[in-house]
Amino acid sequence: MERAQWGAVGMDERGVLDRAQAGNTAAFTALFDQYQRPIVNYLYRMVNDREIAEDLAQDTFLKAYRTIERTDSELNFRAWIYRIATNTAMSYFRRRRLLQWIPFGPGTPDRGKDPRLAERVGESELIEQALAKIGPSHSSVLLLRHHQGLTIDEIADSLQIKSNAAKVRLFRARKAFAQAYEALTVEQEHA
Amino acid sequence: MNCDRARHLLSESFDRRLSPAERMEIAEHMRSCASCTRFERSLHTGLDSVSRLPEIAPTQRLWEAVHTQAAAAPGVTPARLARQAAGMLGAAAAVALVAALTIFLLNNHAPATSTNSTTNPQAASGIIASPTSTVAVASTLAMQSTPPEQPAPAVATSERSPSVAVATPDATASIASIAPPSPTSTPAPPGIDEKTAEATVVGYFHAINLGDYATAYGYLGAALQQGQSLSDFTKGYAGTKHDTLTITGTKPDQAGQMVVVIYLDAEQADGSVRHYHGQYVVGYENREPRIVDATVNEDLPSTPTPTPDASASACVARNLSATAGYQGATGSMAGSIIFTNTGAKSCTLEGSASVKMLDSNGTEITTRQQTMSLDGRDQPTTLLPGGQAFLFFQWFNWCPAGTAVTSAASPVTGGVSFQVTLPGGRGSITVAATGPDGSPQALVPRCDAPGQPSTLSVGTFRAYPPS
Repeated sequence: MERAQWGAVGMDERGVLDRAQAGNTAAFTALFDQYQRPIVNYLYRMVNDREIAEDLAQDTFLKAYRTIERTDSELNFRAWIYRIATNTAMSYFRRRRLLQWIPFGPGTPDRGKDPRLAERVGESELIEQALAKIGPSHSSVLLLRHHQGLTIDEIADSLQIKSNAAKVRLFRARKAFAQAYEALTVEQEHA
Repeated sequence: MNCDRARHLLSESFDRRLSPAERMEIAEHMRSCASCTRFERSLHTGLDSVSRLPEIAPTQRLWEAVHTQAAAAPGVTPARLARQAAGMLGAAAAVALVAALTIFLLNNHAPATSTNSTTNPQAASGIIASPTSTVAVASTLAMQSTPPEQPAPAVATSERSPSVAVATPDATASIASIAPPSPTSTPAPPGIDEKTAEATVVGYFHAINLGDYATAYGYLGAALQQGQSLSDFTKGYAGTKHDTLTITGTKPDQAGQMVVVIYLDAEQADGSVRHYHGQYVVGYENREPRIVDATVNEDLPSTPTPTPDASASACVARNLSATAGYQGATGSMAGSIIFTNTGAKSCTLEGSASVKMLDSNGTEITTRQQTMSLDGRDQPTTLLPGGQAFLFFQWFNWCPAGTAVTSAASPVTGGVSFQVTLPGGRGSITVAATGPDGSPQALVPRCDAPGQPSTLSVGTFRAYPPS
């Protein structure tokens, strides 16, 4: 009778996580279901390319799947999955930087220097350009806080730094972002 | 104050409430600093836009890629690979492995738990290899087998003509190296626990809703797979768009298995919704949780609603007690309020009710209420003395100031209560939402649309447990 009223499919995340850590695939599936959308969107805003974002999300969840049984019982899954996603994205940026030295190698354009900037662009594109300008190190912390809604402590956990260091990094990211955004706005107004 | 401190504080204002002194300090500085004024405007406008960046939806490709590649993960153990084959694979790899695993199970294990006769002959009569067979099959799988344009079957479930799963020689060969260890080499698992059983049923419907029928099929026990091929299983979902599962209870049976009682709303491709209730029996097969038996019936509109006391009057709040609970459901919060008739006479509940959500101080949590009719055939529900009825509800989009899109705000301090006002001035009843352990529930739904109202969709009174 006590259990009779518990509504729909969802289960409390701690219980699901416990079972996923014990190797229960249905539980991992539930976690994947819950986090695939935010993780794909986080990565999409990091790399500005839908296909690459999905590839990176795929790597993120595979890494999580392969290691979740080795995590401890106090795991904050949300912070942990964002940590994996951030590291995966950073690896991608490092790889891309190397590949850009190879003539005709792959790589996405630096949108901050895109000559089409003179065109009238929408607010979303302006934000994308500002995020691209400040670089992945700053944009990751900014997106975690303002797009994905992580707390300072969760960001610290995701980046494996202390809370105070997360605050400092967040301040620097906001400062860089505000300056980039302001510069782009001015450019756009004079275009 | 210099510019650096002003900008520090402007940044911190996103993370904490600044003191009046700090706010005055900033205001004073900005009156004479155009640069910081521009900085503040850019920061607020820009970060507000960041929080409202449009979202993209992950593609099916991601789901398939993760599950297919997980199967090929280097260094996986045989047990894990077998688990993947049965529970997580997608696409073609799953078809081959699941089919092969079926053969393995058929050859190596007597389907001890899956040959039980169903407790409801109607539920199993139509979806087995032979109409006279007593092998129970997950009849939910068959409920969509009648195309929408066809008339509803006279019995609760519809019919199909399944065949036994056949594995290709290649697939059979491939399974040889990943077969789970022999049961004799390790002790058999203990009876299945409640959460694993629920997760198995949830995972099964999750796969179905994703269209990943191979994975869903992998959740079935050997006898159920024997009852129909993957191909037939897949065809059975041609008319289904989405299944919404509600687990209404879980209880152990005498065989050490777990009976998961469910209620199901199956949205059809033509937009109609069909309703089912029943139970899935989950047990271990080859040390993996599997659905080994099922009894599911459709709630047909033609089914007469029993009226134990046709003269029963409308229920009044003073003769009702209530319990409430909810849990996360893909970003929303879903649950139910269950009413018990504590009076000496039968009474009826009809239609819906006005439901307000309150915090622990009794302050109303602002929501916009919508009424949802579960099946368009709402009738008075008669509660015998001690009888029960319930209201299903779903709560969406909770966005207090400062909540970013797709994130969840802080839980409601002290927990959530529901104040239910019965129609016709028959009083109101307030009930706190509690979890299975009796603790207050305070979780809030995800913020999907800042600036838009939070919505509470409330169903109509229905008999409890659903019949």
